[in-house]
Amino acid sequence: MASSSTPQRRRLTLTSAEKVAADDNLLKQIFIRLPPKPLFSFKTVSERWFNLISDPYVVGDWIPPNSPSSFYFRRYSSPFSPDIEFNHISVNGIVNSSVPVSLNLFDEPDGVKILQSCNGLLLISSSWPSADSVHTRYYVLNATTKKYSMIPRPNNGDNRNFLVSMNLAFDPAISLHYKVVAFRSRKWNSPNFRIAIYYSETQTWVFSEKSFTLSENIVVDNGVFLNGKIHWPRCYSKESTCYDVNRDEFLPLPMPSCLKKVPVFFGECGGHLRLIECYKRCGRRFDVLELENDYSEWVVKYRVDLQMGVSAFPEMIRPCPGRFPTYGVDVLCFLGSEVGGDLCLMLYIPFKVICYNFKDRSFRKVCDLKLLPADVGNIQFCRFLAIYPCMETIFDV
Amino acid sequence: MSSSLEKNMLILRSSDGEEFIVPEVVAVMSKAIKNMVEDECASNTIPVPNVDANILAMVIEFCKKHDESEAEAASDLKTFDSEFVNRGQEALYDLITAANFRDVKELLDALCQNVAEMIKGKSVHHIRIQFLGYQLFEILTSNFIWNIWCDRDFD
Repeated sequence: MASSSTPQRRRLTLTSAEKVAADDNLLKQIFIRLPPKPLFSFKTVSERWFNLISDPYVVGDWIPPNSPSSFYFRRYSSPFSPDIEFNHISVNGIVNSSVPVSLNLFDEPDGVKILQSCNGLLLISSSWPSADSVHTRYYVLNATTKKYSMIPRPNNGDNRNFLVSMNLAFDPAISLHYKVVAFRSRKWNSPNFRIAIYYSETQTWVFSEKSFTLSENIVVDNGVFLNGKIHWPRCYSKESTCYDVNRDEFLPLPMPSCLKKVPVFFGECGGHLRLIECYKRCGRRFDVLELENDYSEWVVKYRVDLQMGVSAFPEMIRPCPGRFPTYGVDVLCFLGSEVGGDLCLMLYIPFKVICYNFKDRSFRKVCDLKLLPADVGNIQFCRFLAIYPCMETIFDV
Repeated sequence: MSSSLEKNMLILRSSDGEEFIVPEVVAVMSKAIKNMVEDECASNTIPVPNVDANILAMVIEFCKKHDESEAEAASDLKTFDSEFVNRGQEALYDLITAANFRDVKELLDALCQNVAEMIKGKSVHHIRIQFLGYQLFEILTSNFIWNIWCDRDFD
């Protein structure tokens, strides 16, 4: 192989690797399996590689990852400041080394916040004021390529100018175009709304004539998009709801029947809805529940025993004089997948992010992370607004 | 030899003349061979030009495993695949050429996945030497590279 770098003496026989690379079709088969960053950097290998990687076939057949590899974690930039920043964390530690990222790609004086993460794309809004106003701007961002599109506000002149909820619906297995689902009401916090759907393919809003009213204790923020439906959890109730984007209707979503626990995790994992519920804080053991495909019931998928991590991380335990110790562990999110054999649960313990690997049931430190008390409060009380699992994709917005 | 051949068995002959007796169900995992069998243009012995005995044996091993393992757990098969494709560079790329030529989709998918895993952390320069070494001089002196060089930092 070393002689191959001597350009003057051109060999007549190719190596096995060179033979493979001489075949456009085989190269494409390899390209569609590469993660976005190497794929884009290999555009500079040669003009032929540049053209092949730019080929629409490669984008159309590119195999997206089947599970999130990192997550964005929302936090305050300093005590007493409303400014929001994000930590970007993978199983290997903090991505991009530096301190929190403020996603400052956008020309927004007060910064932006993530509203939802959906199969590699992020739904973003300007962060001030915190509730929607006519000045709030919305974006869809591909955090891998840093490309984004601004989504115009839906307006058809019916005075439903307040956006109760904005949701991203994107499933590259179905279409490379995404939809944004807006819940429009006449006034702030109104449970009565109509829906409009933005189609990225045509860049237009389509307005539904149906009117919906939802129970006030369902928080329709940061929904989980799966199987063409957007799902929201509900605390202390046997039933929540999901919205079928294609049929424009709300359907019941059962919640696990224990009314005393609250969901500390609610999200998609391996093509299923998963949920972890606890009494306020996690006890020694907790279950990972999975919703059956027919939405009939939640079944126990895994049981996690925190005691197994105590020897490595004694700070997990908070001694309580005269009572059983409690566990100072907060659930963040799942990364990896069963198929890849690297499924793990990301957890926060004081000043550290750790991960629990389901395959070998081990606990491992991911990174140090010193959170402000307000950040910890965010994980505990509005955790659905704090953590956004993300996967890398090449898809255009 | 063909007279003593059991029913539903085929003989594959490699480019260097070695013969392998394999069940038809295994052989037809190669679409190219399947087409030959279906068109009945295959005698009992099917020549597999361009694929030597060493590589052909590996392809047959892969197909046999995939044929047997329908009942096995998908994760076991995945473990087998990842171990199977984890071999020396020459054999890996020869296998890709063979799998492509004989149209064995599952094998080609597993091999290309393995190559993607192997090269995703490599530098652009390493990639040029490994895959385009024979035309390295032409590439490095091309207008394309000159333009990249002028536009931004060259890695």
